[in-house]
Amino acid sequence: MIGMRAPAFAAVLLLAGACTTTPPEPIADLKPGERPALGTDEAGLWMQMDAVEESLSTSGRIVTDPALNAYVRTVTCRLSAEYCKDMRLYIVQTPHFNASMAPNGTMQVWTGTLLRVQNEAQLAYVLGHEMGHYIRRHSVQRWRSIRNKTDSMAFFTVTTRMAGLGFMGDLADMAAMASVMAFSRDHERESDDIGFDLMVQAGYAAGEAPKIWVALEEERKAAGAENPSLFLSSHPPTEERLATLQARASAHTGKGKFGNKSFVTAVRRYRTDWLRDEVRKRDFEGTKVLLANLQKAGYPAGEIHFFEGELYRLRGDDGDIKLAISAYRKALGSKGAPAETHRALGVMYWKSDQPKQARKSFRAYLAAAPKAEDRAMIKSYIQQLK
Amino acid sequence: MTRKFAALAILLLATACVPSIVATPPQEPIQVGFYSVTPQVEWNRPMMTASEIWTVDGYALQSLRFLDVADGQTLSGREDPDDKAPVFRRTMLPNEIQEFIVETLAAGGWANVKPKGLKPAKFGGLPGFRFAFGMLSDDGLEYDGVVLGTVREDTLHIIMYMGTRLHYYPKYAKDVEKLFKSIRT
Repeated sequence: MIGMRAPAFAAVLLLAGACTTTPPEPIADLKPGERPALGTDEAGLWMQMDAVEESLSTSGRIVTDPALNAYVRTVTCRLSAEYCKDMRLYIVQTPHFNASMAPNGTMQVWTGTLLRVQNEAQLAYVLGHEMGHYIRRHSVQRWRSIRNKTDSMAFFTVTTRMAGLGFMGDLADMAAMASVMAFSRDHERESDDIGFDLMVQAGYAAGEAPKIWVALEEERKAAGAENPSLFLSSHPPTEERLATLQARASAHTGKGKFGNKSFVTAVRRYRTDWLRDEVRKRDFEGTKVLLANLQKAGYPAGEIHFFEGELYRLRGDDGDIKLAISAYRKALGSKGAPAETHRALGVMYWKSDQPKQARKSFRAYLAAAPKAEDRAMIKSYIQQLK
Repeated sequence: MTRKFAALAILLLATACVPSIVATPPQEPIQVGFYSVTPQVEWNRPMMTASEIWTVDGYALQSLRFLDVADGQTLSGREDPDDKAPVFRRTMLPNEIQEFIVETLAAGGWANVKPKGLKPAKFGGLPGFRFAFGMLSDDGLEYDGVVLGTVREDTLHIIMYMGTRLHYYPKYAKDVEKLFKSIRT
């Protein structure tokens, strides 16, 4: 699992320590196409992130599907045609909610984010928020603020170590590096405003912006303190920020589009894989809240109940077999249950000494997935159960 | 004091005398836990570690792992105090064991771990299972792998061969198949 690792944590501590005391220095917005002048501290910062980007770009976790990339990129460009040329998008297959923007325009969107946002309007808000960090040059502001207040050598040690890592296991470090640089409440407020303005100007429904924060906060509370979200660690959604966003959304009179259909079309083929990654996190309570939210958002009930069953099956506590069976049966009685629901149900029946039901479920699985990779094994189960 | 130095010297000499890696002699059975295998080629076998991980050209290029996992342990043979890592359960069916291995690889940083062809197979004389898999390394390099396993006395025993899809996996894939067939329990 990718979590907050030691170097990132050290950087966060350094930065967090600094951000409480130093107001960010005023600095002009980055213009479209602008690169920092050579020899400046900002250019050095960009160089470090260029090195990080190089290793990120070849990572096995990058989702390379042209259609999905084109879709997210289109939404980005809809928010700002001028700035989108300066940003490189990387969709990273990781089941946590996170998006980050490095000072050089490297934008990461993790698949856990695409699983959680429920329509194009919410995605636009998240992307707009990250663009806000880039346009306002929050990274360099933070860097200068930290340099003035902390041991810059220590900071450089951390950043250089991260920049030189060049491996995927520390995506969290890369993302944290990119995002913690813009980790003051003022910067977050600014980016909230920019994200909101960009999404509204692009014609999206303003009321969708705060919803993503509310849903994330619900998940965070359910997951408990031992499962902090990387994104929420670096983008704390304070009550005040949420209230401001909600007030701005309420004050907005225009209707705006949700982009439900286009969003669902873009992510539909990945949804099952992302949900599978999600349940494998074994964050039982947090994932339950997410599943409930997705069901409210109109995800097929069959798919939701199947993954509920998977949560119980993987947890394996006393009584979980019964709960899993009940969830799988609900899934099969609803629309959208994947073929593997039959297989999972068969396994649970077998384990609860119901061989006849198990056999029936395995047969149903083979009928629903005639080219299943485990066909030979399932056939052997059916033989054993006779 | 002199005695202590003498003991230390003996220890040092003893350590120095044992090579840390030996080559497995081809065509000779080698005992690995409760079973033996007969390799077809020479593998480099580390002698100073608890785990049996062999390679010919280097671990990053190809490896042959012999793993024993007790009930409730992770693939690396440890307990999971946080309850977050995939663990082996003695009641698992082969599908679940495949899932456990795939999840462990994914949690270890491998991307796009795709299993294929799960089927019953003999592990020596014991009933077992096998499957192949493909995956990407941290830096996007393609790997292939194959697993042969069995559950005996509540412990999972697997032999996992993996290597880069280009050249190093196929280089010894046929030898590994012969090694699988050579298992004696």
